[in-house]
Amino acid sequence: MNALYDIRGLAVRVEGLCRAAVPDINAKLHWFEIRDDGRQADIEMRISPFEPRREGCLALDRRYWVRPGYLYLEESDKGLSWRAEIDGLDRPAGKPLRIRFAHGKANRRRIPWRLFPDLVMHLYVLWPVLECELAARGLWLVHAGAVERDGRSVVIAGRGGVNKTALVAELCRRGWQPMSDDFVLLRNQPPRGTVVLAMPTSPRWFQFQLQNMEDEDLSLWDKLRLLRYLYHRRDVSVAFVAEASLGRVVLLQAVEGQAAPEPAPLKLGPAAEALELNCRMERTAYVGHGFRIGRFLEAYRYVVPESTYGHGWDRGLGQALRELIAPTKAYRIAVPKRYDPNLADLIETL
Amino acid sequence: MIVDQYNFHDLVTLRIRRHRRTWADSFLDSTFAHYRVEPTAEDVDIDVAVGPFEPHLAGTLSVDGRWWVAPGRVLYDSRLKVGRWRTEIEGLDGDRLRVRIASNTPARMVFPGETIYSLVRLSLARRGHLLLHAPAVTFGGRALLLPARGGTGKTITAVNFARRGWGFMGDDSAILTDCGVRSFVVPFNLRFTYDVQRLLGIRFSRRKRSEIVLKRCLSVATLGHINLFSRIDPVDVFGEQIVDAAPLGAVYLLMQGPEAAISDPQPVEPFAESVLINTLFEADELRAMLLAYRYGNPGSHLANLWDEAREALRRRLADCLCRRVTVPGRYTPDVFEMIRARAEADLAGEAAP
Repeated sequence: MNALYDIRGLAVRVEGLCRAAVPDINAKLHWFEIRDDGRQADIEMRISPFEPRREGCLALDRRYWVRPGYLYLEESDKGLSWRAEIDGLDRPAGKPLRIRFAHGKANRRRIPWRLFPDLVMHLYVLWPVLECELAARGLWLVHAGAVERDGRSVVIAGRGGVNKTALVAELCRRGWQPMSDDFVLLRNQPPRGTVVLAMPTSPRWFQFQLQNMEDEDLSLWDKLRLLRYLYHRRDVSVAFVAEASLGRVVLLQAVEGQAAPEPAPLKLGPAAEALELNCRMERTAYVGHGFRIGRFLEAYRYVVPESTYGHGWDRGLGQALRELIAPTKAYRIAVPKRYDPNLADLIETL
Repeated sequence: MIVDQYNFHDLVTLRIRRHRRTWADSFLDSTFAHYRVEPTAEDVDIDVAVGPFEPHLAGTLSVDGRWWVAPGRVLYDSRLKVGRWRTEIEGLDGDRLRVRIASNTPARMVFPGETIYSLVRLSLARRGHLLLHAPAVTFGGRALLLPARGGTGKTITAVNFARRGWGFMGDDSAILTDCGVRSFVVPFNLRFTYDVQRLLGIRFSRRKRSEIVLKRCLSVATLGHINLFSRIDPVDVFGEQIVDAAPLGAVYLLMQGPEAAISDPQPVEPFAESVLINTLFEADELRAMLLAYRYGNPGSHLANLWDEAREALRRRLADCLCRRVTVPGRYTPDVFEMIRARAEADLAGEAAP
C-alpha cells in the first residue's frame, strides 16, 4: 500500500505499508494523507527487503555504515530489529531523501507489534529524520497537545503519562475545539506571530477517548475494545482545527504523592528549556538500556563531521522554541499521577 | 563497612562505601584499583554508598516512570540483562555528589562500568576536564590519543604500542585537561576471542587459563547470552611503562573502513566534533539522566555541559596534529606498523616521511 503525506509542504511518500494493520496506529502520519498524484516527494520511503550498498563505507559499532551522503544501519531495541538505508543526506535542495527500510524477521511475530508493524519504522527511523527535515523548513515539532477557542490556542506539553490526552478530551467536552493530542508544529508567520499547526497522530484514538473514556487508565478490556474500534471505524467525525495563533503554553509535570494542581508562571528561559527537553526525551524515554532513537544521525556526523544535516534541530531547537514562545505566557502545573478533573477548570482560568 | 577511596590525579576524588562483599564485587574492586588511596576523613567529590536505601519520592517529579527529579536530586532505575539497580544522586547543583546505589547482586558487575563511570565523567566535565573515550600512549614525553568506536582496534593498537616500549596511559579512556593528558588506567576488558596471551606477550597462570576456558564454555552453552570478559590489570603487564601525565602531541581518530590509510593533518573544526561524538556515545546513561534532571529543573547550570565540553575540546586540539586513520576490519601487523611509523614521526616533531 502506498501513501503520500503532505505535512505542511513537506511531502513524504511511503511505499509498502502493511494493509492488514490497525491503520491508525500503524501509520502515524495518517491525518496528512493526500491523493497520490505522482509528484516527487521530499522523503521517499520504501518498506521492503533490500540489499545495502556498503562499498566504500566506514563502519562503526557493527551497526552503522557511513559514507558522505549515505547511511546504512542495522539496529535493534527491545527484541525488535530493523535495517534501513538513507541516501541523500546533505543533498542539494530539490532532491529527495531516499530511505529504504526492512523489518527484522521476528518483528511480525511479536504482540502487539504485529497489529501495527510499520510503527517500528515510524518511531525509530522516520521520526528523527522528520524532525530534522521539518526544522530545516522552519517547522518545529513539539510533543504537546493543543486546543483552540476563538482563534487562540492553548498548548499543553508534558511527558507521556501525565494525562495530556484526557485533559484535551475534557476541554473539548467543555466547548474547546481539538487541535491535536500528542504533537503540534510551531511556526513563525511574521504578521501573525507564532502559529500552532495541528499534527494529530492518532485521530481515531482521540475520538474513542473523547466519546468513551474519562481518564487514560486503560484496562486490558479497554485496550481490546480500543483496538476493535480502531480496526473497524474508518471515519473520523471529530473536526480538528488545523491552525491557530499561540495563546498559552502549559507544561504538565507529574508529581509523586498527593498534590492540588496549582499553575505557577514560568519564565521564558526555563519554559523554552523544558519544552526543548520534552522533545529531546522522546528519543530516550521508552527504549531499552543504552539505546537512543536517532543515534544513526550522530553516527553519520561522527564519520562526516563537516555535515550540517540535522544541525538546525540539534543545535537550534532551544533557541527556536525560545523565540517562538517569547510573546506568550507559560505556566507549569504539577499534577498528581491520577487524572484530576479539576485540571480543566484551571486551564480555563489561565 | 568497607571503604575504598580513589583519587584521579587530584582532579576528582571518589569514595565507595558498602556494607558487605558479594561474589560479584571483583568488578567494583578492580575497576579503579590503579587510583586507590588510603581512606581519609575529609569530603570527597563523589561519595557513593552501595546498599539498600529508602528512596524519598514524596514531592519529586516523576518523569516517564523511570526518573524522579527534585532540585539538586535525581533518582532513577536502570536495568541491563538480569542486573537491576537504583541510583539516587544528590548535590547535582553543587560541587560534591552524594550517591546511593541499591542493586541486586548481578548488577554489581555492571554498575561500576555504567553509573560510576557516569559520575566520574560528570564530575570531571563540571571541572572542565574531559574523560575521552580514547586510549593514550606516549612517545618522547608526548601523548598520542587514539579515539575510536568499540571494535575498531583500540586495545590492540594501544597494547602494541606499549609492547614496543611506548608509555601507556590507558586502553579505553584518557582524561584531557587544559595542561595535557592524564592517564585513566582501568583493567583490560578482553573477550576470549582474542588470543590474549599472544596479544599481551605474557603467560597466564594455570588458574587464569582455566578461567578463560570456563568463560568460553559458558558463552557457547548460553548461545552468547552470557559473555564474561577477562579482566587483566595493565599494571601487571606494563608496570614500569605506565605514564600518569603527558602533554598532548597528536590525535589519531581510528575508523573501520575498506583499506588502511592515514589522512593528512585535519583542521580542528570538524575533527573535534567526531571526537566529541565518540565520547558522547559512551555517555548514554549520563546524557539521559541529565535530560531528565534538566526537564524537572529547567534553568540549571548543567544546561551548557556539552557545549562547554565542545569548546574545551576545540581549544585543546587546536595546536596538535589531528589525523583520521582508516583501519580495515582485519587488523594485521602491517596496519599497526603504518600507524606507528607515522606516529613516531609526528611525535618526534619531524616532517612526515
